[in-house]
Parts: sequence; C-alpha cells; structure tokens
Amino acid sequence: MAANMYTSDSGLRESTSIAPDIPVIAVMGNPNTGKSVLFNALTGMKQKVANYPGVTVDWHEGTAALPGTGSRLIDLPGTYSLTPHSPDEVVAVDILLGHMDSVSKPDAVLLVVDSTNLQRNFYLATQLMEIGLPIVMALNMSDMAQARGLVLDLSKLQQRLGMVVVPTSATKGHGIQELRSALAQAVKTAQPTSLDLFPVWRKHAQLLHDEFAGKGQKISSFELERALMDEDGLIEKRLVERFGVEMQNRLEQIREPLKESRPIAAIEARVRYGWIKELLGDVIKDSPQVHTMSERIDTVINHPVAGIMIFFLVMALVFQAVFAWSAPLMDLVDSGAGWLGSVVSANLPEGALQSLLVDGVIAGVGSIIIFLPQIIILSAFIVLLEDSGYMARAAFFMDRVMRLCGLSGQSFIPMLTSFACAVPGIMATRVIPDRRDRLATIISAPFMTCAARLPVYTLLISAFVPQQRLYGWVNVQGLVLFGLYILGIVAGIATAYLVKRVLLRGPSPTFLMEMPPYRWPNLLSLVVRMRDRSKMFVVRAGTVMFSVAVVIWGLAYFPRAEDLEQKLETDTILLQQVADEEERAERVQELAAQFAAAQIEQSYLGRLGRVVEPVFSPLGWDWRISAAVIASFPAREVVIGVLGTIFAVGDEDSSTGLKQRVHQAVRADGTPLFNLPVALGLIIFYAFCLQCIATIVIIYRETGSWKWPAFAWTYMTALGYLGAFLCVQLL
Amino acid sequence: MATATEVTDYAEIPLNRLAPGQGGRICGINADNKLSKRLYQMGIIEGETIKVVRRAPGGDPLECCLMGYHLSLRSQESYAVLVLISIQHGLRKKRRWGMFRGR
Repeated sequence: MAANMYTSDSGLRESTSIAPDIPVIAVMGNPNTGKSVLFNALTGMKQKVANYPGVTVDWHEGTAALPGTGSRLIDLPGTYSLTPHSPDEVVAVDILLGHMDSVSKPDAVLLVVDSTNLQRNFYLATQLMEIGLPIVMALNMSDMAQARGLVLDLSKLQQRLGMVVVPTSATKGHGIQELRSALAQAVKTAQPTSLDLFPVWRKHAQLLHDEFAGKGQKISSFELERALMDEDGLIEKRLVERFGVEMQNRLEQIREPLKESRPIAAIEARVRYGWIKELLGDVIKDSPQVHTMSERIDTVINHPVAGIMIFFLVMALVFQAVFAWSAPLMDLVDSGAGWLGSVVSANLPEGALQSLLVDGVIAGVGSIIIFLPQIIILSAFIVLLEDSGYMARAAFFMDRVMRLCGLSGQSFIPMLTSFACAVPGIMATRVIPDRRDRLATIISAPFMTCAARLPVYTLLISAFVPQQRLYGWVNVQGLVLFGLYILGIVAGIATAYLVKRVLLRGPSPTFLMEMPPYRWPNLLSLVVRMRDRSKMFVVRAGTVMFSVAVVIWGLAYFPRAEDLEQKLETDTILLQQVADEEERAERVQELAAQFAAAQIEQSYLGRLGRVVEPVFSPLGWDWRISAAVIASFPAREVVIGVLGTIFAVGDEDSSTGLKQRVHQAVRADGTPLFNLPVALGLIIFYAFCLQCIATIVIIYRETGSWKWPAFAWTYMTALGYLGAFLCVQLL
Repeated sequence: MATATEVTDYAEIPLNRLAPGQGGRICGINADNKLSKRLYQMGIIEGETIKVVRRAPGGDPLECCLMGYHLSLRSQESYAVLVLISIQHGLRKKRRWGMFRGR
C-alpha cells in the first residue's frame, strides 16, 4: 500500500510477525484524557515504543491480557477529531484505517473519554462510531467527575451509543478489570457500532466507493465520506495524490449541490455537537455547576504576581535539576569509565587492542551513558509538568515573549533545557504541536550555551583573558563568559527567526491549546517514560555516537610511528639508570607525553590537521588546533584532551599544565600560537559550531531526515568560522 | 421577530476584545477554512456560550471557558470569533434567538 506519506517500506516487520492472530486494539482519545495512564494500567511494563524509519511520530505498543485472550494494544497519539491537522493525528488516523504498512488494522477501539469534559470528548466518539469497528468506551477520571457531582445514567448511555461504557480511574486503578472483560467481549462478538448523522453524505460516499470499485480501485467508503466532508483536508489531499485529478473533480462535483450557505465543516460540527447535546441531556441526571478545585488553583498559579513568581520558581527548579542534580551522576559515569579504562589498561598488554578498548570503546560508551542522567531527569520533569497540567500554563505564560522570536510558548522549556544540554532539550520539543515551530526550535536550541561548552570556555578564558576588574568590580573573565551566554541566546533567537521567515515560510500557526485541569501525575507513567527515553537515546543515538568515537580513535592511533615507539622504549630503559625514583617516574611520564604528541602529529588526524590547515589559517589556527577541532567533532569538550595530547601535557594536573603549554606554544616562525584574538576566535567558534554528534543524531531522530542535521551543522560551523574570522581580523 | 435594528442592546464583539469575566454566545466565526475547522472541532460553534477567564501577562493569549473546559487562544485566532454580549443583562432572555438573525 503506497497510501502512507509517513512510512517507508522498511518498517519494523517484527512487530506484526509476533502473533498475527492476536486481536489488535487501538487506544484512542483526546489529549489530556489520561489515555496513556490507562494504557499503562492495562499493559504494565509489557510495552515498547514503536518507531519506524521516516516516521517522526512514535507511539507505544504493548500486550494486555484479557479474559480468555491476549491482545495487542496500540496507544495512538491523542487527537481531537478524525480530521487530522498534525503529523500526530495523521498517524493516529492512518493506523486506525489500516494504512500504516507495518501495523495491522485494529480489530476494536478503546476510546478513552475524560468524564469531566464529556461534551467535547464525545466529538471524536461520534466520528469513530462511523468507522464500523467495535468500540469500548472508558469514562476515565470518573472519580473526579463524581466528586464534582456528575451523575450519569450509564445503562441509557450504553444503549444510546451501542457500546459498552466502563467508568474508570486510571490513576487509582479503578475499573481496569471491568475494562478488560469489556474489551474481550468486544473483540469476541466483533459487533461494530454505527452512527449515521449524515445519511446523504454517506450515500454519496457509498456511490463513489462503488464507482471506484468498479474500476478495480478499493477505497473505504468511510475514507471517502471523510474526504467529502473535510474540504481541503489531508485525507482528500492524499486521495487526490493517489487517484489524480479525477478524484478531485468527483469530490467537488458531489460537494457542490450538498453545500449549503455555510462551510461544510460548520455543518458537521453543528450536527455532531447537536447530537451530543441531546444525548447528554438525556443521560446526565445531575451536573451541578461547581467552582472546581482546578479553577481555584488557577487563581493562584495564574495570578499576575504570584503566578510569575511560581513560574520562575518552577523553571529554576527544572533548570537546577537538569544542570546540577545530574552532575554527580555524570561525574560517577565519568569516573566509572575512567576506572574501567585503568583496569583494562592494567590487565591488557599495551598495544592497539588496549588502546581501542580504553580510548575507543570505553570512552565511546562513557560518552553516551554520560547523557543519561540529564535525559532521565528531564523526562521525569516533562512528565510531571505535562501530566499535572502545568506545562500548558507555562506555555500560556511565555507565549508572548517567545513570539518575539517567532516561536510559541511551548518552545520555552526545550530552550531552557538546552542551557544544560541540547540533547534532552531537542527531545523535549515533542510538546510543540506545530511542525514549523518545532523545527525552528530544534535548529536554534543547540546555540544555547550547554554544559559541555563550559570546560572549553573556562580553559581558554582563564588562559587568555586577563584577570582584571573593570571599574573595580566587574571581573573581565566573568564578563566574557556572560557575553558568551548572551551571544548564544541572540544567535538562537536570530536563527529561529530566520528559519521561520526564510526556510519554513508559511502562515503563523494556529495556537489553540487546551488548559487541562490540574491532576496528580502517575508514577508508572513516569517510570515508563524515563525508561523509553533513555532506551531510545542509547539505541538510536548511541550506535552512531559509538561508531564515530571509534573512527576518531582510529584516526589518532594509526598509523603507528614505529621508530618513535622504539625510541621511547630505549629511552625508557636508559632512564632505569636514574637513581632517584621520583625523578625517574617524572621523566618517564614526560617521555610518554612527548611520544604521544609525536605520535598524534604523524597520525592520520595530525595529517588531516595539516591538510585542512590552509582552511583555518585565516583564523590563526595551525595544524595542531585544526586537528584538535576535527577530533572534537564527536563532542566539544574532547578538544581539551586532544590539545593536551598534542601539547604533550602529561596526565597529571592537566588543566594548569595545559594552560601553561598553550601559553608557551609557538608557531614555526617563533611567534606565539595563541594571542587574545585567536583565543577569542576559538571560543566563539565553539560557541557557535555544532561539534556534538549526540545533538546531530538527535536532530536526525526528531526530524526524521538527515537534511536538518546537515543544515544545522553546516550553518553553525559556517557561523563559527565567520565569528572566529571576524575576531581575528578586527581585533 | 427580532430584526437587526432591534438588537441594539447587544453587541457583536470579537472574543479578543472581551475583558476577563465577560462572556456571551458565539454568533459568528470569520476565519479561513483551516482555522475554522480547528475552532469548530474544539467546540467553538455558533450558539455556544464562551467566557474569557484571564489573559496571560502582556494581554495575550487569553484563556476561555467553554463547554466546561478551558482553552487558550491568541488574539490572532480569537479575533475571528464573534461573541454576542448583552449590554443590558435584563434583556438577555427575551432576545434569546436574536443572534441567528443578525447574520
């Protein structure tokens, strides 16, 4: 089937081949209905993230035991209607209609409804009922609705809807057993629900179906009905893509006489909501108007003064957590990798294998794992903010400010997080519904000064920026560091603005955001999300990061300078004559450092540095800086280690040692290698460039194509080069 | 039968011009096809009541309450939603169907 614009051919076949005869149940519902919590309650940890090459939306799949049968549950992205607007909604509709290549068509639907918001939630229900699948409705959050005083005539509701309706409370685990039996029953009897609110449209859709069937082309009449009623919608667009102008003409021909003076969408909404109003009027026995708890909380949280203070407190907490709480864990990973490296070094003979294991494999894996603390902490916060309902309030608060740079309030948290690390920041852009806003945020997030830039900044600033005070109290070094933060923010804002104005031009997106009532977050959801995000990062990003780390290791390790190696050996033996043990150890270390520097000079990396030297010489860089910059392609902070090796700094006390060596380094003609402009240029280069394989891979992962990471890398590197160039030329 | 001239006690005002606490019945949606589809499915249809709950700092976006839930929209979108508000509240009941005439 070529109908799907979001899948490529190589989907995850395994997921279909597990057990073809197990019934598939699609879990659908509006956003903020607690759908995923209910899904988690049904499947437990027996679930995984399904993502397919080329599909940027992912969803969860799991297995749930039902009385007498197993089942495969697919947790579809939340949608407000079957008139898809966003990629999320397109995927949901595609799976529902059986258009997703690698997912078999659902046998039944579990429709999750927010009991406190029946009217709007039932809109999707009326559309789903037309598909002709068995449906079970979960009246979720029924405890909250009950607390508010809502009394429903359940049997009447079931009778009118023609489906089993189960009141549930996913967070408390109420109604889950009942839901399991209802689902088993629905799958067994396979009795479809039906609703015919638009008989004339349906008749025409049927006729059109027959017409195309006569030509041997199969299109479901439901899809045709949706295409007819959703003028210029995505379903129509795709049918036209498949069947050409003929389809377009036929749809327009049919629509013309059926159109009244109003737009079709208005008629559809009016009929559906009219039907819902009548139904609810029939089944709701009591629904007192109460001032809800949520509204009372909102009077504080959205208070002009208290609200802003709470907002800054929450944001400071998120930032603090991602930035500072993760630090001890990251140090632990770092020292763990170091320890493992030293153990391996001690137990393996020196040589290529030892070096590969220590400097390639262990260092490479360590550089992946080190991201996990931040990813886990941020995912936890995102779940807490989203599930509690505060995320929508934060976006509401910041919308005005973020709009100044062409984004929306939903971009704020990803941007804020990127000050700690762009990787979790870019992962957090999933909360942005608009595709253009999301891409602009993804491209500008890496400009924010992340934690990995700090060691580079600190080293270069402390080595080259004079330690003096302006007006007696402004520390110049601090000022430069502050300036770099501002530089990143300005560059990010300008980039977001440019991306939206030049690359992704279009009408400004509609901003319609539900403000869900405040709710208690659910622990299981928290755990599942933290697990999924970490797993996704390690599996998807980790493999690429690991390969790059090993390649860079190879470039620096090969070819071996055998004469140098021999010289090192003989020199070391000669040193045995030195009587003083301390002095001997020192001299041995020095020799080793000198050898490492000589080795890297004639390695492929060193040669590459010389090859690209002309490119970077306008920036005042020689082959050594060029090679270090190339070697830091996987991660910015690597540059420090490589510079240390190149300048023959031993392991001990490397930061002050490196500072000295960098100061003393001279070019071939005897002039100092670094002066203030060159050093500042290098700092600015690192402020802009995208020397971070993890960010590159995560951009690929979140945008679904290599086009965006390639663009981001080229653009940021060019900007870094330009900045360094201007620095050297103007200062 | 209410005619346009009789509806002087009511005003059709774009939603973005309402103050927090103000509300009324939706009497028209002047949006392009794409936006109006989204507004409709969120329950912003003629005849429904809508109330502005609060505005974000800076005055935009605004938070509304309709169908028993809360929705936030920017000026740009809420401008398209016309709300019939009564200037003299006592007259509301009598003119209940007035808003279907005005258009």
